[in-house]
Amino acid sequence: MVTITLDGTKTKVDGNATILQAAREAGIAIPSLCSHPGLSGLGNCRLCVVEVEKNGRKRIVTSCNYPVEEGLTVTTASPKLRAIRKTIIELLLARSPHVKAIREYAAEMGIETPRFTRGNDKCILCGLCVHVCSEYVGAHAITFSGRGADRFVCAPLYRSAADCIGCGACVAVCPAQCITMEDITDAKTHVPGGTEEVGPARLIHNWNVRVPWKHCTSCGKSFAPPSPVAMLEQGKPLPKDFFAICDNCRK
Amino acid sequence: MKIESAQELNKLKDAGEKLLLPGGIRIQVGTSRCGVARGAQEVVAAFEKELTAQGLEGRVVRVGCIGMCHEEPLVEIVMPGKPKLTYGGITAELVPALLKSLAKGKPQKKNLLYRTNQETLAVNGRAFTYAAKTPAEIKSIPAAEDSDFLKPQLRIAMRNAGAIDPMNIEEYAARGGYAALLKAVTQMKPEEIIDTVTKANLRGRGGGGFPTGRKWQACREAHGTHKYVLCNCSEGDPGIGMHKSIIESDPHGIVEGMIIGGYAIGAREGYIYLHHGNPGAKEKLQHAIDQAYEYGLLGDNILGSGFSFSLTLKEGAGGYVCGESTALMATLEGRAGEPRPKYIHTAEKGLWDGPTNLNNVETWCNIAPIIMRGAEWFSAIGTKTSAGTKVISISGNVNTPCLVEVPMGTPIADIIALGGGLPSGSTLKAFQLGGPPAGILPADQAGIALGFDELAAAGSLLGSGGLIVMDQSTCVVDMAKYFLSFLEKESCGRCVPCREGVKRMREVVEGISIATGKEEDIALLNELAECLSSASLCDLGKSAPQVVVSTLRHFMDEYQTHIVQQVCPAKRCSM
Repeated sequence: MVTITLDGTKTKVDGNATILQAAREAGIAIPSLCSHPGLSGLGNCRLCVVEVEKNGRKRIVTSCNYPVEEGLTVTTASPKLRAIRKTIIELLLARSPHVKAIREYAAEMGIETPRFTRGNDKCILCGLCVHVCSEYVGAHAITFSGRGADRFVCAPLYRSAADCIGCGACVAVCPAQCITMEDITDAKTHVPGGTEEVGPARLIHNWNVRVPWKHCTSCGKSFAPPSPVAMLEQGKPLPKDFFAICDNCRK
Repeated sequence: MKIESAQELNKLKDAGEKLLLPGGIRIQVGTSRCGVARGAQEVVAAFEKELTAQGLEGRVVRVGCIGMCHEEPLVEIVMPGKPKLTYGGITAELVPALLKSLAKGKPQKKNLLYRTNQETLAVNGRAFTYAAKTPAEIKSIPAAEDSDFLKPQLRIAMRNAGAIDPMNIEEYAARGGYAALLKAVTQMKPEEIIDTVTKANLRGRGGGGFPTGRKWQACREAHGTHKYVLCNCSEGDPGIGMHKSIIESDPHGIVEGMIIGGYAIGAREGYIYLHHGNPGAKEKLQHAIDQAYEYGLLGDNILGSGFSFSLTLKEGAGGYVCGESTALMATLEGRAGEPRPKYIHTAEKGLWDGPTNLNNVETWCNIAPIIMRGAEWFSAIGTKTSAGTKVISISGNVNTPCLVEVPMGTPIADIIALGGGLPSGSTLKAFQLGGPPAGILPADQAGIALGFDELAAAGSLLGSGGLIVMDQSTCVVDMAKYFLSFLEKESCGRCVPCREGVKRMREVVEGISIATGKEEDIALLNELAECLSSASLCDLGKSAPQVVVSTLRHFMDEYQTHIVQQVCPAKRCSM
């Protein structure tokens, strides 16, 4: 535990926490788009900026990835910070005017129409999907492409994400809800050799992914996508047929 | 042959001296990028052909860049017992006549710029003599030390530029090379070296101006068994190429500096990051590294001291942002060149999470002279807060764009004069020093002294040292638009302020330049600039609005003319 000064109040916080975690623990709301409770901070959206003071030196930092330390003084709201956040939301509102999370922040900050030409991007480029896929799932199925304002997230070479395991973590973390996933029962899957297999599959449209489901060897029913299962199989001390039987039959 | 003692290094030095001051004619042709562009390769071929045709004993050597880009192809002639002669603008057709005049002992005066009887080697302060006496027939030629171009200069980082064959380690040793390494690893403790660099007040030449000694100290004290030293040669700024020029002229200077740095910090591995698309620099640097391994100056047990160090050249895929320290490290690790937050310093956790020290080409080149001549010598050069010299590439509206190295504290106006001043009929309107992220300053500030703090106080940056001179035909709105579009393209796109903000600033400035600007645009630009400079992730985004902020501060009336009267005073914008 370390003691930091949060908006004028001395607070004891977990020494491994970030400023954002500590502030939320203390009931202080800091806006953010690219942070997720289960993932490490990225510092991409810069919405969670706060002012820290250390050894008499003031700095503006992103709270989602700044580790707390003994004696740190943090200001989470000031006219300057509010102005920065407002500009960031105005910039994002111009880019993605139809994203719910951004519209909500904009309404909160009193931005009606951005002063820039409007785009119509569904993705706000927060980077959470790529982050969770590479650093947590370990599939490295999707990546950023392009640079600067032309940046976008895609499957390698703009084709189907061959390494996608269909876990849906990217869908779960997306703050803009722009990744669409559906599980359908009669998906056609091309099997190498020219045959087609019809059966349940998981589709993630953004990455052109179609992951067919596995058939239970016991009851014949389809269940969870096989590739995450294959990942779990590696190095797990489980019976050989553990992943060949569905949850229902296993009970 | 492995060098393990001072005697063996001396042998290398003697061999090099025989090459630098040979029995026959030594013809040095500047074959750096500017020379090659002006036909230096043909000049080399012509000399080689003509030497055989006239039956003269001699050797043609491809050297690096002296810095006088406007006088390329530059040729220097060394003959036994005679002063070194420097000829400018020698094309292949002029070669036969020149060689004939030299063979007769009456060097032609045409194209002759200056003579050099003796020079002081910056690395150890010793004299290097070509000829004690000047023959009567060339007495009228100005001496190098009196020439307008060389007199205001002091060359430390560029000490060997244009004087040696960059592919030859013997010539480097003959001009005092690797003696500093020998001194460092055999006579000095790592702490002593850091202390010397700190006392010398050497500050990073890459732009930030952070004290090099303190940076080394932090990395030395950091916990970790695998430490790294890196050299930044990204240099993505438009229109400058001084680092590549230094590499093409004197690659061993960097290698020597980095080995000393590695020894001082306690690192065993070093990497040089080179921006791709520089085949000449890559070839020379790789060759220098290979030679250093061959002579035992790199590898295990360097100079018999027990210290081991390996050095690798890595070519990046390019991108302006790759010059940012954390983006550079990401590139070296094989990831996309994107910066990461530096809340934990790279001296603690840098490359592969090991303590890492990054300096740029020019900083590394300054190390060997500091070790040889001591901290007092170096800190006495320049100003109190900015010691030493700075390599400046001069371009824009000047008569003779060139590459110079001047002591810190030299007024900017004097540096512009080194570039031949402005063409007749032109007046200085503004200048910018330090590349796209630096502010543009108006003509009345040209008296400002060259230095980190002096330029920062004026709202600009010393940065990389690319001086762009602008005359009255330049429109500041147009300049701001140009730099913003450059930064927009080079932004990695990771953080919102830089990715979206620079794009929007460019759009607003572009609107002003095509007569669709509005009064409230100025406030909008200031608002965006404030957000970018405080909230961006890396220094690219933080400094991106500088060009707009500085022009708004100094040339507000020009913006107003564009917006209100919809007229471009310089007639650059299409209105």
